[in-house]
Amino acid sequence: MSGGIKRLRVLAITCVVLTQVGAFVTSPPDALMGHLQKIMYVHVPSAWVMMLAFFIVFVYSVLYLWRRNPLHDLAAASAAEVGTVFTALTLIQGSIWGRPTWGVWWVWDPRLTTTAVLILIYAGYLALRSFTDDEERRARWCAAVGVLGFINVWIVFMSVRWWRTLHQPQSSPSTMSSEYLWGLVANSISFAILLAWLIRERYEIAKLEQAKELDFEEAALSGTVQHV
Amino acid sequence: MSNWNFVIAAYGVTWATLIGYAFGLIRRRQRVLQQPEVKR
Amino acid sequence: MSREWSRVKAIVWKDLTAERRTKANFNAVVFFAALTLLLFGFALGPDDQALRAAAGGIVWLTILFSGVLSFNRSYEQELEGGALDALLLYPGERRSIFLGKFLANLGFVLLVEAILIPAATLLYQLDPGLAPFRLLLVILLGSIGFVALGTFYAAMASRVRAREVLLPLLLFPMLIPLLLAAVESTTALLTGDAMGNAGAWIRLLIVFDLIFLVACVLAFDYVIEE
Repeated sequence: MSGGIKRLRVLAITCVVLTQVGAFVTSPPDALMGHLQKIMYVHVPSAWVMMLAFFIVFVYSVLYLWRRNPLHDLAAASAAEVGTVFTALTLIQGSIWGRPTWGVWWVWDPRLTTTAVLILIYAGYLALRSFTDDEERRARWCAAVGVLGFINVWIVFMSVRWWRTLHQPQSSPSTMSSEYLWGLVANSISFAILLAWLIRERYEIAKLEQAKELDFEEAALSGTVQHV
Repeated sequence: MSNWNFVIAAYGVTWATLIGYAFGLIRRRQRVLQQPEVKR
Repeated sequence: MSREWSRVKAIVWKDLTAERRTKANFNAVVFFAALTLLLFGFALGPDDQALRAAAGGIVWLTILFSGVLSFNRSYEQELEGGALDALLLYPGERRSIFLGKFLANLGFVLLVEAILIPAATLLYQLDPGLAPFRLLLVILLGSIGFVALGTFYAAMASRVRAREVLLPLLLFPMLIPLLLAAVESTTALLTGDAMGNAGAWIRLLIVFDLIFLVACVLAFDYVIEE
């Protein structure tokens, strides 16, 4: 078991280092953005991985509601936590990129706005999780919230996009020439591997903690606990 | 070009966060593994 | 089918008569809504033009902030009396519970709006006469989606700690599309709809209502079962 994680860790770190350094060093300055373009090598992968994480939350939430396997709930929760980290990063990177580009730290652009909504949906999911004590109920409720939240993200994105085009002519913020494409794709893949590793780590912790919890409850119920 | 500051800031925040989070996870797993078994 | 409807009606009646017995709740929510309208006026005014332009947003935010106060309460009565477990013993589907509470909450919210909207018209010097029926339609459609999601999330939030903050935290991100559509169509209708956008946003409201109603009815089973 731990051999698998170790291999995943090594793979993730190796890929990420290679693609990050590779893209950073070899990409030429963009005609419009200059070296600012390099931010895309963390921003685009982070955004893509954030959506991937949320999709994983959705899948495991559906699986849990279908099969009631507690491990699926733990997987969903792990993906939610790691996804929140990447969502926060996406927001910060987007803001940092935006400042020299548009002169402001925030714009109500559909993608950035939806990312902000996404972190709030994640926050609600995690808050519900921490406030619900009963494990079975917590798993069921979070699964429902995870499913509805995922569906809503797309609705929010489309609504905001339409809302923006009504009030302002839309100028797509990042249209980049294709010479950067391989760097984005390569980094997106390595970030996805990184995501897989981090979720796996978080999931192992969740399993261990739950096992300890059950162990303790069982012992307490059978009256055989010695207070350590 | 002052744009470099922004690039460094973006990369800095990203990797500081990810490395910090990853280390946090690894340490947390060690701690849970080291917790004494429930004595019966 | 008619069996289910009589169950739904029974729940609606139960919830609403409980409301009437605690008329204080209704009054408090209405006063809170009026207060919110005033506060927005203070925060964004005193330029009449600006207020009139922002009125659509102000009205809908007020509906959201005051409506959210009523959803948790619709489960509190069951929580205290243990009546929810009794309800669940009946061979009826959970769906009837949701529909019953949804309709009761919708009635409550619409009643609050019946006072809130005229008050807003007064305070912000609005002219609903330009398109009164479509305006009523927008209010109804927006309320339906709002109440459906609110009734759904309150089933969870009302039973955990920090319920006053958890309900808005869970609910409001889900309401964003509805809020956009409702505010855009309301604002358009109040200002003569020069661009003809209102129709499109109203159609969007209908789509949102359908999506969220179906989703909530389906998901409610997982949330209320014990």
